[in-house]
Amino acid sequence: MTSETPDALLDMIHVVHAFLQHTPKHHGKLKKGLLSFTSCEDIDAVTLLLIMYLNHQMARRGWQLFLIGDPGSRPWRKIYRNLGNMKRQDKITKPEPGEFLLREVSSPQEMVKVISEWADCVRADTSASDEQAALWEMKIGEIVTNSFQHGLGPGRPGELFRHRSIYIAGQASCISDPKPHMAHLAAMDFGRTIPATLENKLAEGLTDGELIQEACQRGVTARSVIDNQGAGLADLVDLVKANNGSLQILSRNGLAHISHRHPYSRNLQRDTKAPFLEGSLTSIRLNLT
Amino acid sequence: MTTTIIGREILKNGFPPDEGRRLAEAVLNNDSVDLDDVEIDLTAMKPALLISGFFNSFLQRVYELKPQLLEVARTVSWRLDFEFQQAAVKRWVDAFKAQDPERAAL
Repeated sequence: MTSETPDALLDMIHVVHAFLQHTPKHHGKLKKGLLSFTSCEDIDAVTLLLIMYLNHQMARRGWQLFLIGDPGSRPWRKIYRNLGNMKRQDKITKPEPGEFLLREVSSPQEMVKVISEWADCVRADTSASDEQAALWEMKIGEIVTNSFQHGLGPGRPGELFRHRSIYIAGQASCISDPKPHMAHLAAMDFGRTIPATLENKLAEGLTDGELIQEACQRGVTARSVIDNQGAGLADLVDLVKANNGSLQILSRNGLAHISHRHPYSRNLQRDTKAPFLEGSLTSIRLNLT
Repeated sequence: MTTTIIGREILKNGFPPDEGRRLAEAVLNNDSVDLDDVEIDLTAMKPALLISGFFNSFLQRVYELKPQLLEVARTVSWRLDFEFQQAAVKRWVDAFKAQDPERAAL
């Protein structure tokens, strides 16, 4: 269960969607839902964020999510470390080399520190130069700042999360790994989605997937969103293309995958009253050649 | 003589737009600083802080407090760790369009 290709990400999305369809809302004693990782070969940062999403969505419906897996397996140990870090946030959980453990950024003031920690992880565990890691840190800082400025409204009762938080997880190749080095960062917010931000400002009839692709064009969000003078997503697209990487964005009912090859977008469902993702999930992969 | 302001003595690693505003206020409140002849040293600062929102907020705050100094503020010399930062800052500063304070607060 990893998200490297659009098809792999769609497979994961279908698992989450199917799970939610089988856990209808109810009142009273919490019901239990089991998600098994026993036949899972690997997970990545996006998997972890989707587990978080599933857990919170189920809790809203009166369900409690339980994860099961082989305690000695690689994916299970990853889940244990990451969710343990999320729960405790107390440095007890030791990451493996190159691992940037799942964490919650609960206020804009923490953002710079957290992104810098990810960049430190990239510097330490890949062959990226200081300048390269600094460039990536700056570009990702732009996107996360945009999320806090435009994506997150004030918390309201009944919202998925009542606080303004972003969840972030990532991975960098271990320096001893003979495979080409890469850095991965994924972030999820639960605010106003990209399609919701743009749907009344661009041409009518665009699907959510198309709206996300439009948001990645230079100048679109700058024209459409008040006080946004940064290039944000368009700069990030340039960055992933220059680094032979990929950018995946899942927001409301749209999925976009952009790489040096072809842009790809897809609509997941049409009912905007019950969107697939109440927020946005952004995944960035950068390769070092 | 050029005055050098050391960013790390004023700034924290907070939210970039907030820190940009803080820098503008510190510079404008310092009577010994002439914006015509100042260098702001932002070396050894986190790259995630030094983004467009930081510099846009710096210029926006200058405009709010002393609008007559906005064009001078665009010519401030920035000392940064990397060449790509210099290029990006030049692009952002050149493209900056000040907003009326009421609109900017929305």
